[in-house]
Amino acid sequence: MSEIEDVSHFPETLAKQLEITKCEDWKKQHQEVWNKHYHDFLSKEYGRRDYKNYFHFYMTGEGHEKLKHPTTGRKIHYFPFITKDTISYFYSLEQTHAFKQSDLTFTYLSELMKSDPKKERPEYYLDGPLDIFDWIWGEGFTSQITLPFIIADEKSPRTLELKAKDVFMMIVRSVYEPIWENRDKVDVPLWFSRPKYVESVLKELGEDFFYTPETPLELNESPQASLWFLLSDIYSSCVTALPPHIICLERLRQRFVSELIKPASKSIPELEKLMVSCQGNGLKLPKQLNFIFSLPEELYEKWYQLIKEYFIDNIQDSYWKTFDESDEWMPADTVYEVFPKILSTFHPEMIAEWNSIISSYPGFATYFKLSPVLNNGCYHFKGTSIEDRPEELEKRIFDFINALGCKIIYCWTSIRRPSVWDI
Amino acid sequence: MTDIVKIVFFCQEQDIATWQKISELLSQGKSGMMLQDFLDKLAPDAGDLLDDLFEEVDPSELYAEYTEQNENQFMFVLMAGSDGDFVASEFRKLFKALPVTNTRVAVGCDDAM
Repeated sequence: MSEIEDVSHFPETLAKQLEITKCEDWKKQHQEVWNKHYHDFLSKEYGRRDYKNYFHFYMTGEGHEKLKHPTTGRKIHYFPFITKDTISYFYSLEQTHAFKQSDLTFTYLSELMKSDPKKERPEYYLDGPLDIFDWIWGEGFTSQITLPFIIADEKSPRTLELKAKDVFMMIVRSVYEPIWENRDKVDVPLWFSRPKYVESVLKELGEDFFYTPETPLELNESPQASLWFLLSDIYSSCVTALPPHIICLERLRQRFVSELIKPASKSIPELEKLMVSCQGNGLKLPKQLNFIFSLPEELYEKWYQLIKEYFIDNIQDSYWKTFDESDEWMPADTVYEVFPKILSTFHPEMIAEWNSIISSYPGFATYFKLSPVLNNGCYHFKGTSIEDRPEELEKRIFDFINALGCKIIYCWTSIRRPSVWDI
Repeated sequence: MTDIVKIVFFCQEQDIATWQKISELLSQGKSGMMLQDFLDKLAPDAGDLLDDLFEEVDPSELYAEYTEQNENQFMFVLMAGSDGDFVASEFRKLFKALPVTNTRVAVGCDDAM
């Protein structure tokens, strides 16, 4: 790779910004991000020649014309850094007919705001994500925005139509997704840094959008269902404290309600009414039981080998490539087949209690997996709908798991969006 | 309909572990540069011989549906997209540069092989 790149074909400001690519500290940091986030993915996705083209472009900004799958979004993403100038430059190279509003408004805006991307790529954001957001989308929501850059060689900037509903659902998803996916690490979406913008979106939506659902079908099918879910009190436990990752998710949810939704409710009576209706579990969303527990190291290894043997003999297929890489939930049958094997091998005295639990609460456990949530390896169950006596079941399973010699146990009830099976 | 390329060959004793790793990668649908790097261990720059292939075929489309090993004999059955002849000719070029013997590369489709 040549050390001196000719940057004269770049606009002057961008050519000057590219000087950073000569800085040794920046290069080291940039390469570390590559190794962490891009190397594995691209070395499987592309052959060596294409991989090298991407890497060269990523480090120097040179050679975008040699990239495989060279969309404008990709060029901006893999360029050494992002500034308003890089966005303007690559959109100026865009073919007029190739410009897709959805790429900019949804893919890019969503990625920019759903978490703090600067934490992952500090050397890339020469202009901060919020500076870029303000530059394109402005201080408050308007249904028409004029782009601050020119597409291709068009005479004037384009004006894009925006729907408040689409932007609002993007905001909801930024909080809903980590909760729905039960993530163990959560970044606070950047929407929390633009509460006035979010408020202006809510006010644009109008009263009708915030109606209170009355039928179970609505709970399943309405696009607003994610919002209703987030307005409800999702987590509770009558036996243990909530696990650390759930505490983080609950804090995120509470901030969503208090910082992004509540301020607008003062001027939208229907929203205020909806918030009251959702409190507790006012919409009667189905509940599920969750357990996470870890075992002493020696016992963990024994369980692990037994489950692995079962997994390889019965479940492994072309989708679940190997047991060790799998972070998939093992299906219900697994619980009822593997668990009795574990008990009869390592805890025969507990078989009678297990049989009693599954006859009292048939189908209580629907999924099962090895979970990385606790450092020392653990098992994670999640149960199906438990309409009746959830506290009693929670206590009973807690006692059962406790008797297996577990080191750490968390159990909690969470509500979930209903599926068609609940209706 | 997907073309299938079947490759059978004998490797040197000392290369068995590397071929096992390659077999595992292909079974997991991991090829691209990762595969090329392993091929370099068998012969210098051998991985470069797949550059033209990966120009035309996305590595994610190239994976082994079936692999078999009998001592130092290996068999890979590769899903090769719609142009099995091209994939086969590129693999023939590659295998000529590798320390293997009795190589057979054949093209078929679906379960015809």
